[in-house]
Formats: sequence, structure tokens, C-alpha cells
Amino acid sequence: MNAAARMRGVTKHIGMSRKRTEDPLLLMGKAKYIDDITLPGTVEVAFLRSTHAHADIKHINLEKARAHPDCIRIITCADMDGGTVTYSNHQGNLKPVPTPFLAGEKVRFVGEIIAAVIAPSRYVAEDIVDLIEVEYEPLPVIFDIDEAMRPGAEWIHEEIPNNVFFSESFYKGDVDRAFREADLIVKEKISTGRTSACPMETRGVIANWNWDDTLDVWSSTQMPYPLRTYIAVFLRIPEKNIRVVAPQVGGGFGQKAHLFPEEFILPWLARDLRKPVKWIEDRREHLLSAAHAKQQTQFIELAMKKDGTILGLKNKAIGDSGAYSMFPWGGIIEPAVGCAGLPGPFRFQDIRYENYAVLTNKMAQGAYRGVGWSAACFAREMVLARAALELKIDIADIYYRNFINKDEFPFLSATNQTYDSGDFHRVLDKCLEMSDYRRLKSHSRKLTNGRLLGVGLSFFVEPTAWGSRVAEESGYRGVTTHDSATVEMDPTGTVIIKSGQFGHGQGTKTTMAQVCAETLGVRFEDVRVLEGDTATSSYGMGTFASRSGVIGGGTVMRAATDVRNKLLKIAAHVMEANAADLIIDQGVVYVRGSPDRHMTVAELAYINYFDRIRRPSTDEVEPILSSTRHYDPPETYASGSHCVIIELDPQTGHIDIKRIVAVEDCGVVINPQIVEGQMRGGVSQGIGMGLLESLEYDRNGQLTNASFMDFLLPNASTLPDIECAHIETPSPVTDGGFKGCGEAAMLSVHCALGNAVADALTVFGNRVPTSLPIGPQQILDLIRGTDAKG
Amino acid sequence: MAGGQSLIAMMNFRLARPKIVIDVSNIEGRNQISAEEGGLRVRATTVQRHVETSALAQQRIPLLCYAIRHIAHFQIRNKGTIGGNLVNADPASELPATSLVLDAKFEIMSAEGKRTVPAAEFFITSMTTAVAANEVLASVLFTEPPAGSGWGFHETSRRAGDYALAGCVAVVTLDAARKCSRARIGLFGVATTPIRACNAENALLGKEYSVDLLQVAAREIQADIDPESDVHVTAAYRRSVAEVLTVRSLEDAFRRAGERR
Repeated sequence: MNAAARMRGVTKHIGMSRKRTEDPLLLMGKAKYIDDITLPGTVEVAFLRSTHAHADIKHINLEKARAHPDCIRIITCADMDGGTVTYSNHQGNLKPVPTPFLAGEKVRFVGEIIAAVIAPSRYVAEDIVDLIEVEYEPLPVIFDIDEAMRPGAEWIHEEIPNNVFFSESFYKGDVDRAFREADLIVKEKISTGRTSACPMETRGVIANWNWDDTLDVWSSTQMPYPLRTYIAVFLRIPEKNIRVVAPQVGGGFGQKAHLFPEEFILPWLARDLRKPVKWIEDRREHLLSAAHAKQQTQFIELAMKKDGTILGLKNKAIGDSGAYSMFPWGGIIEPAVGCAGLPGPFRFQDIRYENYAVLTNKMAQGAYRGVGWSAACFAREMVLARAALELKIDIADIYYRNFINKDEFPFLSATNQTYDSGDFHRVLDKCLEMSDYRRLKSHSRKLTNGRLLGVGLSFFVEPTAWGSRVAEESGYRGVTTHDSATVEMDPTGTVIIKSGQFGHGQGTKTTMAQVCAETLGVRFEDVRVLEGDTATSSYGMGTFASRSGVIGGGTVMRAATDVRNKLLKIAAHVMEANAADLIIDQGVVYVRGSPDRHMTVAELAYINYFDRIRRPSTDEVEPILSSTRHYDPPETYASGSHCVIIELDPQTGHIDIKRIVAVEDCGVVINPQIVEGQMRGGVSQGIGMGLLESLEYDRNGQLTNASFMDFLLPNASTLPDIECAHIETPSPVTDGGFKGCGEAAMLSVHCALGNAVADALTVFGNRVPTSLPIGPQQILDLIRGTDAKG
Repeated sequence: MAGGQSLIAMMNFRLARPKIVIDVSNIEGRNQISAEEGGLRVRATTVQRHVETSALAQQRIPLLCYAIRHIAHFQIRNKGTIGGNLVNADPASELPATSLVLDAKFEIMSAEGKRTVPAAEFFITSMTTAVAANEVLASVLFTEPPAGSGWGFHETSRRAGDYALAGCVAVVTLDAARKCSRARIGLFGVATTPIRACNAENALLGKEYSVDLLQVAAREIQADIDPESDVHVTAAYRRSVAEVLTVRSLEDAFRRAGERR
């Protein structure tokens, strides 16, 4: 069944650049974020966080702190009965790493919570935090993966020998033969920096215990339903008595798709104190203790024929997972997910990889847009860049030579990912054309202003629609997801969608309404989306991992189809016509061929609910115009390409980005403007990761740049305008033909940047970046050959 | 507190815990630039943006405006003050090095009276100046370079608006024979204070412009600087780039001076 056939309405909503219904509130400054919510009698929480990276806690003296006149309560680990948030799944040798709500006898990273102080305000609470005296006995600090895996190293968790809590290997085909037969073998050690998603709004939690023993929680989270479930599980509160609300959330990018200790401590405190409690994270806390991401070391090897044909890949990926295994994804999210995405758009079938998740005395790593793929794609693209330079073949031609053809789908990749569809040639054609790639590549690298021109390309395939199948193919064995939506037409003919997805910037209130309007045949303005509140929406995992367009779109489409069919039955009865002859468009039901025979949806809905005489019998059609449907889609893979054009100052290493071209194929586009928003946002973050961002720990495990002064995010002056284009290859397997588009640029644009640097530096030889971010230091090192192996 | 652009951040981090904060940002006539014999006097409370956009400053000491434009972003320059920036004395900041090159004179006041400190004696070490605990900076006199002078300013930073990784500000004066009769080279981000590169200045005196001359002179800065490594770049990077930026600044300074001769 194709997408067009499913759409029987006349008016198109899918594919239109509808203005976002979310925006007026945001633009007027009237959106309510968590810090805008204050319940009467609220008290505030400040945390005492560890100043040591690894130490035994010998003693905590609360005497002075408790003597402060405004101290309401202080809790430590013992109060919460040593509870933990612990991740485990069906994965073979993934060892659970217990993550305490509050550190007990030991702290394992700087920023770990030791105590929670409750006071009338945050200011006072911080004063009281300063009065707590902690006696630490320092332990050896595991600074990086080399130290962690060294024989005899201190074990950060006594139940995890040698600090390796996950390892996995995979092979397919005959990779040894591929390497024997290769004309060229390229080996690199690739390091990717530790970064943070840094949403504009930090984390925050409010909890309130009601006198009827129910709990209300507000959290700046991407996944309100899972949070409700796990508060019930970990705090032993009946789930039916818990309501979780994610208010306006100012960005998440995967970082808020975790369940953090703070999200359990606050509800616990609310129950304990019978008072509303509030915690709003500050930026320093955020950089210290909200999920980090992307730090991996990879040892990658590429086997290639001299005509540019890729024969095989080997990789060993080690994720610097930090001190814990973040719930609910675990430390496997970097190395395992990354390696599964190694083949990208290429047809080769011989591969072998192994990956490890290793504990260090740092904040734990978790999900962040592009998850493990950012690192794996960078490794693949940089060995390809090197091979292209050595073989003197343009990288674009290497892409074309190795692409999967559009008539070969479904295609099983070297890592057994089932690519459903795509047209990689067309996407790359478009990108080359928009950027004028061939002509720019023929220019001299040396510009008249003393700088070097660099033109870099990259291509990606993005696993999207994070349901059970894509999770499985991305390294999460046995994971399942539950997502549903309810579509409900009221007696006046307007429609409410109760969605398990939860937009926090993605515009799902707009796109889900578009899908519903087109499927059901009502006006866009007559559809309202409720999401982010477990009391009023439908169970779902939330919004992350490029899933909401496909999964949300699918659930809404299915439920809206049910309601439409019901409405048509009623219309057929009332209008004395054949249901098959009826058309619904923009809230009006017509009889095909007799345009003057029509009724509005509102009239029909009213009759259905209230007019016993005219409606069909309730045995025939129940008078409820509502349906709840579930959707766990098959795997679908988006693709795209980026071209980055830079000017590089070879004397200072400064990079000035002149142009960025982004081409995306995410199947049927629900709202082009929203997809472009995703493309631009992803490019910005990808450039940040590629050029600027690195959380730097020193050997004592202290985070040396825990502020925006030294942890650098891209700003408006870093980026040029981004030129976007769409190619539409509908997915043949998903409802509506949708594919996801959220991660895209973070699989790719940093690789294009790396390629652009390598291109600019060709005047010095083959100088390919091997680590992220590519700062001015690395550029000068590459030029001087102190870092390059060329 | 004048603009609070550094103090408030330090207080948020609880690195500064003053018992009393006196806000002087709303006093009358806070923004004052006046032409004096030999230069421009700027009241310490003047916001940076006021100087940056002042026609008088543009006309008399364009270098001052150009340097200020590199301090953070305009929103910050709308709050941040000239005095606050100089007294904060961040060694990577643009204005302290510029004040050295412009032979600035700092007028410092206390209940006991006034005293004037030349720029060369004002910056003591990182974030520390000659202003004592019971004193405030009242105004700064930026000296106008003599006729036949040209200036150059170059810095490199990770992003526009960040503190410089390294930077150079230079003023060169040419005599009628187009020989260098006076030179000022200030460097920032390469030591615990902004510094004058006196050896490099001396290397220029009496010489005519040549590409070689600039390179030879720039090499002389190495003896005067003592950069550190940080999360962004190494000390060696700063040494190398400071030299490059010195050449570029001198290049511009000689060109501008030549145009004015």
C-alpha cells in the first residue's frame, strides 16, 4: 500500500509548511517552562555534589548545616534506603552498574550527589550546602580508558572487573580475505571529544504529594511516561497514583531521554515533606551531571581496491562511559550503536568489529542526537578521506562507486541493518549541484587572502523510527517500545489527539495535527494535540531518536482512520448514501458525484452523540468517535548529504565556515519547514561537536571547563546560513511513507568539516583530522606533522 | 559594581562573595568622553559601547573603538564598562593591552585623594591592578598617538566574542623619511598581564618597512612573553600565533602610517 493511496482526502495537509501552532506562545514569552511553575508553599532543593572524582566517604557532618535557622531537611543516601536506578537488558554480557540516587560509601565522579538540602529558597539552600562537612578518603582516579583497562587498575565498581561492563563483537563475510586482497589499507586511531547536548533549558523537577496520597511530578524530560513507570517501580508508589507532566521543555536532544537520580529524589522528598519541592538545575550542575556524550576511541581499518571500491572494515570502539551506566540506555549507547551504523550508504559486506563500554571517573555518557553514530561515522569518513587522498580519487567518486543502488532495496547492510529504501545517487547529485562541488574542487586551495579553501563532503544513512526493530538493528537486543495515540472527535466535530509522543521543539503539535487533518478529513485548525501529561495523553515512550514523525504519525494515522471509518458509517446512515461514495474534506462530508449533498462533520458528530432519532442504532455504531492505536514500525532508514565550504587560516588554525549545504531524504515530508528546522539545528550542533565542544577533565577527574566561558557552543557568528534541500523517497514499509530526520546532521556534518579541513590542508600533503573537535591546535599540529601520520 | 559583566558571573559561581555591593551603574553622567590635551579622557563608568560608537573617539583614536569592538558581544558591551574591564585585568582581554599601547594614564581616587598611575605600572598580575582596596578607578586618559602614526589590531579566538587565545595591538609612527620613529606593541593572552613587547619595538626604530623587518621584530616578542597552556591550546601554539599576529598588526600599522604621511 503506498502513501498516496492511503490519503483519500482532497486537501493536502501532509507536505505543507504549516506554521507551527507551538510558536505564538513561545514568541510572546507566554510558554510555561518548569521554572515558571511555582505551587503555593514550594520549598527548594540544592544538592551537595562531590568535589572528588573517586573517594570513599568517611564521614558526613551535618551538624552545622542542620543548625542553620532556615534548614528544613537534609537527606543523604541512608534516608532513601540506598535506592538505585539500575540499567540492565537482555544484552548478553552487559553487566548492570548500580547507580545510586545519592552516593553512599563512595563517590565516583565530580558532581555526584551526596546530600539534598531543602530550604525556603535555592539561595539559602546553597548556603546550607556549604555548611556540610564531608570527609573524603581519595582513591586512585581513573582518568581515561587506557587507565581503566590497564591491568591492576582500580575497579570503580567492585562488581565490574577491570572496569569493562560491556563488550560485544560482530563479524560478517570474510574480512581477512578483504584485507588480503586490498590494494590499500588505511588504519587510524580516531578519538571523539566528550560533549554535552546543552539544551537551552537545563533540567528541573517539581514534585508535590497530595493529601489523597497521589503524586504530581513536573520534569523537564523527554519521556514522561517511562518516568511515571519507574517512579512507581523504584519508589514503590502505585503507578495509578502518579501523574507526570513535562511542561514546555526547552530542548532535550536525547540528554533528557534518561531518568536521572534527581527525578526520583524530588518525588521522594515531596512524599517525605508533604510539601511541593522544586529543583532547577544551574548550568554548572548541568555540565557536571547531565548526561555527557560521544567520547570514544576507535581503531579503524579500511581495505580498499585501487579503483576506490571498499572491500571491508574493521573497527574496535571503546566508549569512555563515565562512572555509571545511564538509565535506560546504558553505556552501550556509544560503542554498540555506533559500530552497528558503520556501513553507512555503502554496499561492502565484509566487516568485523568489537566494542567495549568502559568505566572512568567522569559523569556518565548517555544519549545525545546522533548517539554512537557521530563517532562511528567520523571514523569511517576520515579513513575514507585518507584513502581518497592516497588514491587521488575524489571522495564523491568513492561514494558513487560504493553506493547501494536504488533498485537494490531492501538491502541488508554489512551489519545486518535492513535498509528499506533510498536514492543515494540522487541525494549526492543534488548536494554536489547545490554546492558547485566539482568546480570548487578544481580551484586552487590557496586564496588571495592568505587562507586555504577547503571543500568537504559527507554522506549518511540514519536509522530512524526508534521502535523495537530499529533498536534491535542498532544493537539493543530485545528492547521493545510502546507508543500509542488516541484520536477523539467531540460532539461539535473538533478533534483532540492524545499522543504518547512529546514534542519539545520538534513541532509535533503541528505535524500530528497535519497527519490527523489529512487522514480524517477535517480542518487543521480543528485538531488539537495533547501531549506531555500522563493524565491527559496516551502511553508512549516519548520523543527522541528520530521516532516521533514515524511512530507518532503512524499511531495518529491509524487512530484517525478508525474515527474516519466510524464517521463515514454514521454519515452513510444519516445521508442515506453508500459509505464508499462518501468523501470527507476540510470538515465536510460529500457524496461523490453529487456535490450539493453534503453535511458538515460537526453536524454528524452532534447527531452521533445526541440525536437518538437520526443516528444509527448503538448496536451498529457505538456513539463514541474515538480510537486508540499502537504502532511499532518496521525499520526505516533516512539518508542525506552535507557539503561544508571553509576558509582556513594556516597560520592560526582558525576556520571560517563560508557555506553549508544540507540535503535530506526522510521519505514523505510532513512539514518541510519543520524538517528544515531539524536540519539547521542538527547542523549547528554538529558543527559545535566538530569544531568547538570538549568537556575536559584533568588527571584528578576535575572538569576544568564547567561553564560556557570555556565549554564552547557554536553561536550565531560561527555559522553561515544553511542551504537546505529535500529529496523524497517514501518509505515502502512505514505508515504514510515517513522516515525520521532528527539525528541526521550529527552523523554527517562534522565529517564534512573533517573532509574540508583535509582538503584545505592538501597543500601540505595528506593531512586528515583524527580527533574531534578540530580546534586551532589540531590544525597547526596537522600542518606541522606533529599529529599527522602522513 | 559598574557593569557587573564579570562580578555577577563570579557571584553566581559563588567564587566572589561580597558582603556589600555598591552599584555605580546608575550615577548621573556615567558616560563621559572628553578631549584633553594629548588624548581622550574616558570616565571609568562609561559603557564600552558608548566609546565604541563615539564619533569623537572614532575620529581621534580609531584603534580604541576597533579594539573595543572585539570585547565579547554588543549586548555585553552595552553593560560592561571601560573601567570595569581594565580593573578586572584579564590578561586575555583586549582593552588592557590597548591601554598599554596608548600610553594610558589611570586616575585613581580614594577618600584621601587622587593619584595617577601610568599603564606600564597599572597591571600587576592576572586580575590584579594598582587599584588598592580603598580606591576606585575614576577615569583613564588614552593618549592620542603622534602625527604620522598608524595602528594594527589582530587577535584569534575560538569564536567571535571570546577572550583571545592570543592577540596583538600595535601603533607605529613614521618620520618624514618613512622610517619608524616610535613603536608600541602590546600583546594579550600570552602572559599573566598584558605586556609591551619592548624588544620588538626597539627592533623597528629607525628602520623602513620591509617584510623581513616585521618578521625579525616579531621574533623578538618571544623573550617577552610567557604563555600558558589551557583547555583550548598549548603554550607553544600561543607563542607561534602571537608572533603571526604581531606581523599582521605591524603590517596594518605600517600601511596606515604610510597612508597618513
